[in-house]
Amino acid sequence: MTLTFIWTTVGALLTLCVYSFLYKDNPFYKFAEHLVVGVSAGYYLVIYYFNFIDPNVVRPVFQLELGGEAVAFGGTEWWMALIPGLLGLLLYTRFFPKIAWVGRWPLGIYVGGYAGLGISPVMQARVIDQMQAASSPLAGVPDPFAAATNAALGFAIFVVLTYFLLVKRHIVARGIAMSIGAVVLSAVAGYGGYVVLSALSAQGVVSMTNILLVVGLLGTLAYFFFSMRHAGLLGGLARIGIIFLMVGFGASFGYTVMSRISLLIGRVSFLLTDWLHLI
Amino acid sequence: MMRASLAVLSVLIVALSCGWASAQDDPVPIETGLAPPDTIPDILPPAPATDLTAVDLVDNDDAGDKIELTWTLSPDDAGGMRDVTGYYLWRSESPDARGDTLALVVAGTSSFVDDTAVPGVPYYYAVTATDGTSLSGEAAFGPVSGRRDWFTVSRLAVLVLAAIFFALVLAFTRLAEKGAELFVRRIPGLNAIEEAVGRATEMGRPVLYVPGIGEIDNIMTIASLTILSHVAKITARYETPLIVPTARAVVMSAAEEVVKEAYAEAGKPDAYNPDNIRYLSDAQFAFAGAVNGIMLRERPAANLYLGAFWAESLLLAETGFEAGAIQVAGTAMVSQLPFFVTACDYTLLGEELYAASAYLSREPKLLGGLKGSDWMKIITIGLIVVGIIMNLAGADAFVEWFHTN
Repeated sequence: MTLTFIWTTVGALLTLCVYSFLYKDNPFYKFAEHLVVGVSAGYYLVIYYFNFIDPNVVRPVFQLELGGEAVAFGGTEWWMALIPGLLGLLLYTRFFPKIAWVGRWPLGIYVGGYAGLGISPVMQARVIDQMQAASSPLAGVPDPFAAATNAALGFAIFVVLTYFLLVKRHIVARGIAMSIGAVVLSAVAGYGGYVVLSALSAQGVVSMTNILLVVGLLGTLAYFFFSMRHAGLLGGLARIGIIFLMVGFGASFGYTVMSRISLLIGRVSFLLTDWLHLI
Repeated sequence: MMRASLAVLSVLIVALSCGWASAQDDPVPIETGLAPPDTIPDILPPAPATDLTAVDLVDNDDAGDKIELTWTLSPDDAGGMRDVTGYYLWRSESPDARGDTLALVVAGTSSFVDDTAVPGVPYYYAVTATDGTSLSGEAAFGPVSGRRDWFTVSRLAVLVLAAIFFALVLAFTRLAEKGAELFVRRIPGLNAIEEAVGRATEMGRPVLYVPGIGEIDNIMTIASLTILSHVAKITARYETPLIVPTARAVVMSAAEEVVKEAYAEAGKPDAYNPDNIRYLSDAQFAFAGAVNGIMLRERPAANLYLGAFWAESLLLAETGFEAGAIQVAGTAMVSQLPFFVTACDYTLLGEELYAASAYLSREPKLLGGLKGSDWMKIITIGLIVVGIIMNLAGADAFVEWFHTN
């Protein structure tokens, strides 16, 4: 009980040291920062040795046993374990200027091997599967996301029309009554759009969700086209693409901020419940 | 005599009823390890199953350990006496013996996949119907053996598109090597990098370059090191200190090489300070904490975050923003881009990071890769449009061809 309290107190005090950074950089934060960097360096040294070097090199080569059984190197001959072991050692040639160039060989094998192994799965998962999913029928199919898509498009009509009337047509400068009228008109147009789109979706004539998906995808691909200047048709498509990207980033930002807030709640709960027993 | 006949008939009816009840209670296949009821007296065996065939099953990642058995159901299964409760499957390595029981499957089943075959070993299979008390005659087939397949037909689309992509990359690389002028549009974020370094020089403060926390095998880290070379040349020219904190030991080695070489190419080898290429920690948040400390204590005027970042992205960018530094970020980590877009002055989005490294270095291999992927995008757009049209026309075979398992 006492030991638990001591360690909880240490954790709580270090938490407060880190949070003191919110005020400004100070010796308490500096202490916590150096402690975590130092501890993590030692911790990872041990983790790397016991998780990688020991089971993959030391035990197979020296025929050591683990749990009563000799450790094999991935079901192959023991001497095969020497190859990655030697490649790892070659990295240290950088400390000897005359043969430092040898250290580039293991790096080359490491990077090249990973790139080669990654090509097939990446081509399958990130290109072909996505392409197949994007080739969705645009009409004559049930649209499970119709309500949300139509509402979003109706809202988009309202926002764009409001911006166009108030800012581009300078209605905002013509008085409050005109401005309210423009907003109401935009709202009516947005709602009208929503009703029309809903009627089309209900009849199964078009799938607005799939159309939106395809337009967004083509626009985004156009944005990441580097061989031509973004002008004309390509420029228009790229502009649509960047709008889709920003909408996506906004949603992702909001989602992640919520998860970070939950982390904060978890930490405050630790301080108030586990440490101070106030809750 | 009459009583004896009735007794025999009663026994038969009870036996059939038990068999039927057993079939009803046994809805799933029962795997190997069961002793077949050879010793049970055979009262009235069911008619045998027929036409047993066994073929090597070809599937994805085919290791040659699967053989598919199919047979025609016993006439007593769904018709006739309707007393078949299941089928015993047998496997032997000799044509003269029935061998071991492979499995017992319920009535109505006419196929089974033996996934315990050893590749290359010839097997003889047999199937017998059972009514719960006796076995029918057998249907046999063999020999058949499993074979490892080197090519998975269902992934043909991957091969075709990968081959097209490689052909494009090689063709454009060759063109670039021959000196052809390959156009790559200027990326706005790149101008910002030069502006940021210039500002740091004017203020007499260092430039901080964070190459992410990815390993050296991460393509984003490799692209980042190419941009680091460009940045190091500018800082060498202006004699502005360049601080490069790293989270991986191998990345630190590579960064040292890159910066040293860039300073030498800029004609300022003596200005290179190895102490500024630092390994901090492999632990994600320890690294973030330490970089935050550098930002507040050494006060760099320009913070460049280019590479693979995870949850530490906002911690770094927000601290840099608070410290008043001009910030340029770039990553292909989609989940972290929103934070950089929010907290930095300029952001290289996704593939712009790779395009930037090709644009800056003008290295034929990188240019070839960039142009090849651009043309691949055009092909992808074309295939999507064709796929949509085919889908609308009701011909989904085209899209199905791209279906991979």
